[in-house]
Amino acid sequence: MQSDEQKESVLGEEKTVKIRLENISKIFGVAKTKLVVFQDINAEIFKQEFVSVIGPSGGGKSTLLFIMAGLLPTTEGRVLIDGKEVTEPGRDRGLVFQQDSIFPWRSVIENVEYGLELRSVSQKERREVAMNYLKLVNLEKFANFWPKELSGGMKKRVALAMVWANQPDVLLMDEPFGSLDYPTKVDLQNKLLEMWGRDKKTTVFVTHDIEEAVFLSDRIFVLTDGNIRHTLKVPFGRPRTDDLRTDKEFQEIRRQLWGYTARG
Amino acid sequence: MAEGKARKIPLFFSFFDRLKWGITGLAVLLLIWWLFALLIGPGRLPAPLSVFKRMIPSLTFITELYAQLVSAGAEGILPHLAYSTRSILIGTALGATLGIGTGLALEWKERVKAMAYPSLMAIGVIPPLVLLPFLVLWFGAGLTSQLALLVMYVFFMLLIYTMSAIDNVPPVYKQFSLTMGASRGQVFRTVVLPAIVPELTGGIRVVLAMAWGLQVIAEVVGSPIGMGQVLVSLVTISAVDVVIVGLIYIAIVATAIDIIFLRMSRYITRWMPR
Amino acid sequence: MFQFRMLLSQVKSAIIGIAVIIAFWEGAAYYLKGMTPYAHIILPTIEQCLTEAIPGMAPFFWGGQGGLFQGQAGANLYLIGLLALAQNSAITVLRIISGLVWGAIVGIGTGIMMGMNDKVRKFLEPPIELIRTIPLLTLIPLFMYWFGISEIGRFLYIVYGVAVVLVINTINAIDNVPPVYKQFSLTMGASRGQVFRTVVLPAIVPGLAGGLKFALALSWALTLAAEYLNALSGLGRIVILSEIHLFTDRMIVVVVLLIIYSLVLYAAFMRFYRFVTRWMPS
Repeated sequence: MQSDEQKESVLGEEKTVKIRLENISKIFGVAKTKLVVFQDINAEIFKQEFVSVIGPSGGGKSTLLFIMAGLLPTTEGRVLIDGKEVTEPGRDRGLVFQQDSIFPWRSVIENVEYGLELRSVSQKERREVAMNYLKLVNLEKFANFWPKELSGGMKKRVALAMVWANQPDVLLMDEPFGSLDYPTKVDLQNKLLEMWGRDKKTTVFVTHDIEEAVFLSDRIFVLTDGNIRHTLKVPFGRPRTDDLRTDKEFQEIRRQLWGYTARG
Repeated sequence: MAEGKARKIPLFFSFFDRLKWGITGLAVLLLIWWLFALLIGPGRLPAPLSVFKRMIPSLTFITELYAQLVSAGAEGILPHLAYSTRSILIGTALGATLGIGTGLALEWKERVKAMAYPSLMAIGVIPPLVLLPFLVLWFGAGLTSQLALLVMYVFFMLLIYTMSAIDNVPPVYKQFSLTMGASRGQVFRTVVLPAIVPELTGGIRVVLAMAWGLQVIAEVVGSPIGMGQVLVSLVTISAVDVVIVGLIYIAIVATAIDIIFLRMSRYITRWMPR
Repeated sequence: MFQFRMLLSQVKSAIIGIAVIIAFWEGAAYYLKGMTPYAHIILPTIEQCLTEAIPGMAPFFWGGQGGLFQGQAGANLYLIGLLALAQNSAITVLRIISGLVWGAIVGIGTGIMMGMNDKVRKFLEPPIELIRTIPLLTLIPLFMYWFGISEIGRFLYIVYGVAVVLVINTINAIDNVPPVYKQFSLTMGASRGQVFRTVVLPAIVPGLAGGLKFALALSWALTLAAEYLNALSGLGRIVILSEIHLFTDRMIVVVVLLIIYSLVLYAAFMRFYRFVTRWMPS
């Protein structure tokens, strides 16, 4: 389904708007006790774009993501995906959660199969597809393990395989690597980019880790003081390698973003 | 007390450990018992030896009670033990099915739950023993009232456990399954149901423990056979040693059932990080 | 402000719940009246409970038999009936509380002694675990045999039941004190005794309070059971005697009182509990 809006980028290519945030506000409570999480957010995310949302903790990044997923309603405004308004969660918007969300009562392979099972795909086909995605995250040897037997990083990889196997249209990620140690994080970031490189799903990635945001994304939204106050286009090409992390321009951009977020 | 080292108290982690503890415990208990028996005198507290001598024979034949028990078609402890055990298992199974089923059904229809909740809470405060006289009054002193007490108790306990377990499912699992495209029914079947199993098996175990007490009391009031009757009859004729025999048998059966159930539930919830 | 609103809504739902039950009750009672002359035995109306039942309990004052006084409504009898209820209520509630308190002293005391001294623990723990396997209510016949219909027998029974539960509870609480607190105090120079007094004891208080909550319910059940089977006074006895003579209305009055008392005790306990656990992060 074609979006009915086209935008021209600076380089003259046509880009379709995949996700549009129209005048979104989220306010909890009433009158004196009300909490304005954010107000009047307007933004566009293009097809096949990898966008990060950064900002101080408690600034509403996760709330925004949950709204896009359809798990929370807006107080005002709406989210449009391919021109259609988002009202409830669904398969087209996959969400990788911050906490461990894979089901502890299912084995690893049963977890990856879950989305297919929901759609009544046959047992044989499910297993095959699931194993392929497990191989993508290098966990095929752990297919019959219980989640409790895996490390934090491994569980996240299962979650990635699980959501990917469900073939969502849009990928939403809520600080998925927040609870991991640095080496595991770097490892998973590379794995994510590798997987993303195959089909380039439109992705919205929430994080408080500026290095992570710069490394992964095409564009960065800075959410502070209740709105997106800065957007920054990341100038590096793809594929991205680890030596980028110590590149001078990379550090400059980090410094700039740090200045934006520290004000919150 | 630990001296800066994280000392673990070995409560039953391997079979041999358990055996060791069981045997030491038994030895100490027998020692204390024997001492008390000496102090208090055999009339009030029989010595362990005399009790043990009577244990196996009592299963089939109790001299003192021959006249009384034979009228119920039983001459020893075994049939009564079997009866009580059967009643407990049936009553618990029935009450559990009803309680869990109702809990799940209420969850499905939010509005019904909201309406029923306050009334349920009001009724749930009543200790089960308070209900017993009413049951006897309404249904007569017979098997119905006896079964009804246990079933009602188990029903309420598990209804509350189920509702609490459903509330305690971490939201992230439900949210996650929704973003994977699950319908409300699918969320219920694939997330809520498996997630509440651990808490429910815990609840059933607790209920089984109480069940014995309730069953025995109910039997005293309303049943011609069963361990309750046996114990009370024995007390009336002062056959203390057989009373203790009876209690030991009850303890053995209750523990056996508990261990079996524990094993089963450990297997069913083997996915849980412990 | 918010807490008050929460309390208000809880009270509201409680009232709704009770109102629904009462509505059902009255409806059923009047329906039965039309159907059978025995209606007043199966399900008496509230009116009947309030007017006939209470004077009927006059003979229970100072331990009477609660015989077949019926329909003799007079101001004195009503008053005596109320006094009888009050007196027996006091007796029952006193039994529950004293059983709980002494059971707690014995149970928690033993648990702490076992926590302090390893040898004591190794000696006592296995037999206690074994004794525990005998279901509490099944011990009533044995206690009846030993003590007959005496107050001390009932008292010891309740104390025993509560103590057994609380010993296990105390031991568990002591075991579950996070080691880091003990280790920290040791590195601050505390002696073993100081660690026990200043770390373990305060740390187990919430766990003990939780155990006491369970023990309260247990004390209720045990007291009632003991009063059913052999007592010369108390509300449990009134219930049983009324049941034998088919005075359902009296049973209901007593049961309602019991429910009210248990709610009051429970609410009072919750205040204590909240105070005692006020330092805990939820």
